[in-house]
Amino acid sequence: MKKIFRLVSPKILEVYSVQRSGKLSLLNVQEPTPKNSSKIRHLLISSDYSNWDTTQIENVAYKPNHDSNIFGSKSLLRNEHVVLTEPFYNLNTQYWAQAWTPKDSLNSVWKLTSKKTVVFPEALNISASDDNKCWQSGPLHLKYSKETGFSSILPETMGDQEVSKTLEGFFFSPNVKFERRRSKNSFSVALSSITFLACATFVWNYSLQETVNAWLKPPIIYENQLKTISIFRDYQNHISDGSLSSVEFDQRKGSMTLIFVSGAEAKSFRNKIMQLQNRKGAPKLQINKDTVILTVEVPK
Amino acid sequence: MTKFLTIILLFLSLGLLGTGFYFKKSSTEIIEADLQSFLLDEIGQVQLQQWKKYLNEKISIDYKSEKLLEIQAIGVSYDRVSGLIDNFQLIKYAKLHKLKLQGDQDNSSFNISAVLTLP
Repeated sequence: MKKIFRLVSPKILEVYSVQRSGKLSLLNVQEPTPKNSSKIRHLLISSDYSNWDTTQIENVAYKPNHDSNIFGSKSLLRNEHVVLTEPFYNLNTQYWAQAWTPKDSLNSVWKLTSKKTVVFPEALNISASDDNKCWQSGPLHLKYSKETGFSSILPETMGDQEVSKTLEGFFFSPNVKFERRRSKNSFSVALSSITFLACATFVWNYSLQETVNAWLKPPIIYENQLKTISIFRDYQNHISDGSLSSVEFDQRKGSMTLIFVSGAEAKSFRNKIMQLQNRKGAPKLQINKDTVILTVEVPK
Repeated sequence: MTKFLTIILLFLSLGLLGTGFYFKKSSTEIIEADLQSFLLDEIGQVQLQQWKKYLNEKISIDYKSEKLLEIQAIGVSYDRVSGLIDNFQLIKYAKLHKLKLQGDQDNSSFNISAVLTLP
């Protein structure tokens, strides 16, 4: 046995239990609140919230699309302001039925309930055991018709007929429902958002990350100009041909080490450059056998 | 409004793609133009072939440690010495510590070695 709710008006919410046969039993009447409405999964709405119509179409091959508005000519509302149920065909009576409601009206219902709530217009989902049973649905009195298999509005001329205030003893058969559908527009926004995110992810991985990293952490550029090479150029004229064995430039120490083929050559070189050594800022000179070391002060 | 948002998002996506391809192209151009770009790559910076290409000289590498290496060029002719020294001095993305030139009188050439620290 499951529960079904019936929204009679903005102030009245009835709770029914549904038996296996579909028979409704009224459990209680509440005022709709966000707390008790959020748990509703199946909701009947009275004629206060929806319109409907039924028709018999002779062409048995007629098959409308699921979003066809078969009673569009009878509605004063524009298509974009209306929510439709799918057209429903009653195999027993061979009648077509469809319900529609203004978007705002249905949105006010869905605002109250959860997104999963399935909304049934009661005129097309309630039946009675006999044709004489009538009930109050919003501002209207409805009467189940076995001929159509749906309900119709009880004419005012038949005002003496007994009208039930609730759906106690009536039967519920889920034929026609309003379902929350995502609009094409929101779908296109979702699709374009996904496209945007996919593009952003691709571009980030493809090139942007590299560019941003290079911008945030540029590579360190070293100045590798040899500090003592200019000194070597100054002194190389004083080096006899074939007397120098090797020369080493040390950036850390700021030194230049000249290794001569013999100690005599080293001494000869030292004697030649003694005059240059008197200059201001001249490199510090050290001699050890065949090795001459010239050192300049390295700025830290 | 939703149509406008959709169009904006699609244009932004296209713009992003265009920007991405532009950045890739320009960064590729920069890398291709920079002969030393291999030094920014941890694999490339220790590859002998990359160093040979940059220094344009037959060399050997002695890997002292993960980040310290000694490059040796044996038998460098006199006319190529200056160019090789310049190439060592122009290294941007590694630190040059020592440069040694040793004359080889028998072969009228130089042996050059350089000690470098990689980034």
